[in-house]
Amino acid sequence: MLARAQEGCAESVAAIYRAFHPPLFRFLRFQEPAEAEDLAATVWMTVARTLSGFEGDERAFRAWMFTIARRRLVDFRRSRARRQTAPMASLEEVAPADVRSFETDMVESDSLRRALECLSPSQAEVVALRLVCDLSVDEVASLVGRTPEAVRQLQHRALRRLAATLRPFSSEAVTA
Amino acid sequence: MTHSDDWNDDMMLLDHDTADRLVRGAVAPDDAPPGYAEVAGLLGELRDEPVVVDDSRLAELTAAVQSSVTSRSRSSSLSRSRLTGRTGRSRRRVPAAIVGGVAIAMLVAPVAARIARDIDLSGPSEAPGTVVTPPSGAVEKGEPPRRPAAAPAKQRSRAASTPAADHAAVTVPVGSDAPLAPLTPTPAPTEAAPAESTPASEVTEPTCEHGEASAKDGRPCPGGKRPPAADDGPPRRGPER
Repeated sequence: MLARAQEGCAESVAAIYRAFHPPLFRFLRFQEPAEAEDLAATVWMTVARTLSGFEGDERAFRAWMFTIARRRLVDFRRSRARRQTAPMASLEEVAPADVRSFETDMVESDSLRRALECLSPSQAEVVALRLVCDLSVDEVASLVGRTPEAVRQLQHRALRRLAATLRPFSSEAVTA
Repeated sequence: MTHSDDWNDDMMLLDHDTADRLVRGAVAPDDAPPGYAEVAGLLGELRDEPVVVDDSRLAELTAAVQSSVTSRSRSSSLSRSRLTGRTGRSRRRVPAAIVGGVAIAMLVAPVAARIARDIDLSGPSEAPGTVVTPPSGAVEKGEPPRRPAAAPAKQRSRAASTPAADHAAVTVPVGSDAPLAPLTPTPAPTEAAPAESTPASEVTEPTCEHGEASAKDGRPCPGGKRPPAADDGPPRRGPER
């Protein structure tokens, strides 16, 4: 399938897209929920432009695609950091009531996802790569440029921090 | 100190295998170790979160893949032709260059032959139409062809013992209308070679300003303008008196 996609076969390209878009989108949404759609589009265009030069099996393709995704993510974060930020008026001042309620609903429904914000960027990245990209410890280690032991430590700490963060949420929910 | 540090660390301990399964979302909340049920639930939810695959992007992606395949094959064929140095234009140029070279050679060859004949007729020679190419690398160094001269017996014996003399000289007749004879090696001058074959009076040597001294010992003049080369071969004879 990969070889035929590299030759430009439309059906194989579609099959690869359908197979790999969900994990890619989850990975990006895990780290940048608001920008996941645009970042995924950028990653897919890069993959499409360079697919003919790729060498390797499906497993290597997965690692390669997430390497591209990770780079796009880093680029996006750098450009966001460079961007000038000006103070804006508060939401209540500028947004109508329905927009405010929509925003509030979205934040509330996403409360579990907010728990992920307690993770450091490295921890979130390792958890995302392990969880949604289905990559092994060694693959993640080579992708992020760390040793496998460092990756294990990162994921362990991430789990502990998540557990510590989610505990008040759950106890609040039980009391409520 | 954060509230995560307030937690009992013993409760938070995880072995590698459990941590590995947890982080892959492979542990159900009920099966999770104490304190990790919420984590297991969250990670499982994130893992199984539905993602809508938008097929409207497929056409654009396929077009991008196909255009990259086309440009890649084009560039690879171009680089291959660059490596071999044969583009379509250069393929057409090669035969033209060959034909042009042959035509130039055909034009130049008679002229060159005539010039060579004129030079040979005007130049000195003891045997008409004969040039003796020295056996060693003298010709390569731009020296004029040397005639076999009747050297003194002492010198001749020394010359015959040198390795250069072991090579046979090659006689090539030029300057006459006679057909070119195949290159035939002539025997190197030895003791038995007749000295009369080259009259000494016909030998025209550049006169040396230290004439007598150099003629006495038969060696090239050390004070002359032209220093003797290391592989000049047998020394030249001065004019006999």
